[in-house]
Amino acid sequence: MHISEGVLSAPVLITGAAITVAGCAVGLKKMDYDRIPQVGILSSTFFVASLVHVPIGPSSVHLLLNGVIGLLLGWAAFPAILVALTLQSILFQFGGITPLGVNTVNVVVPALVCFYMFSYAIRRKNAFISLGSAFACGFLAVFLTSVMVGISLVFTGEAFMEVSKLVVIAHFPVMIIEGIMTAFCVVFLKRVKPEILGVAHAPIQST
Amino acid sequence: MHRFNLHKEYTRISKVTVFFLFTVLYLAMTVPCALAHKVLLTAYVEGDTVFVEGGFSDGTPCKNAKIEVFDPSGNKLLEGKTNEDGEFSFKPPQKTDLKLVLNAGMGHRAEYIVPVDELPDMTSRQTAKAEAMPALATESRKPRGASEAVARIDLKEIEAIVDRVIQRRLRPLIQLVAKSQRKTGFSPTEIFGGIGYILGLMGIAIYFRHRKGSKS
Repeated sequence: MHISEGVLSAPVLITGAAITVAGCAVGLKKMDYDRIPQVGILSSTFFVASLVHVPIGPSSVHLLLNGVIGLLLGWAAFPAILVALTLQSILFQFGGITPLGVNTVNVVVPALVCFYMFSYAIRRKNAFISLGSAFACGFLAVFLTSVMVGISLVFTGEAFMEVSKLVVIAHFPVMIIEGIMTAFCVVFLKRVKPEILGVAHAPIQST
Repeated sequence: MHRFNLHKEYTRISKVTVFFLFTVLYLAMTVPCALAHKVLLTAYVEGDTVFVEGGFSDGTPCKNAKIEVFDPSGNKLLEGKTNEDGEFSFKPPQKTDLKLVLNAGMGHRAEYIVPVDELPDMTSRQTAKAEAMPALATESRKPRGASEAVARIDLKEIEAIVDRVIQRRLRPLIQLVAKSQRKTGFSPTEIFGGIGYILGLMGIAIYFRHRKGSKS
């Protein structure tokens, strides 16, 4: 998911950077004092997750975990992912410095979409709805990221449908894996620490 | 009471998320193909051909990826596709610096510049041959200048032979270097260093928030 240096044109890069700056401002403003550790840890998780390669499928792809991160962090995912991507580009030469904004948008916007779409359903008591939407959250986040990569590349002359199809197919195994991982995370968090999912105000001891 | 609760919540949040982080870290360190997503391009000159190899930094080759060759002013000289092993070769059409660009699709791109002094001296080699031929032909006719001509041919020929042999001998070495160049990626140092940076930033954020909180 790391678009390399020199692929994208200037307007795309600038748009991406502008959205990222705005998103980070919102994210930092919304970040409470007691959530900073969580943001930091999830940022490091994203940083490391990109090193986990999924050897299934035709191409070289890695985990993203943006579904889980979006679900847990909401808008704070912007600064978290920006920091992780910056360090990845400096330390591992993934992507690059100029496309940083675009890469951040490609990962965080789907995460936010999934956050708004599923966080309510995931909080529901019904285990089936909760699990199903958790899977959908992880799955859809990666899917949307693939589509966004396709959109960013359209402006470089690559045909949209062709690229998107390629990216989506390449990431299909990742989508499944992340769907399952997100579902596991939600089950685990609901049992161990429901507040983290935002169910804090509902009395848990009522059972 | 409230303060105590907050504190407790803290440690629990951290425990869960730290567990999560370590699970992923464990995966990253143990999965054998846990290597980076970086495209690399290397090229070396052998004889009159430039050999190009493209691959991801985990060692998998870039199959069927587009390779373009540009001259220093940005004109496209030629293009081609890598084969199943991520290799491509071409004969340089002109003797200038060559910029190779590999486009592996999905936004993956790498560049490599072949400096002009690595390229074979095409023109001089051809003229050398042309010079050598008449020299050979005139050798029998002009016995007086024979030794000089022989010496000249020998020098050129020896140079060519030495050149060829050295290149052949060096080939495995060059390939090894090219491969090891492609293998450079990251080490545990970088992984833990990166995590350290993030935790450090987290500390700074907490510090500022704390100061702001204690002021008000």
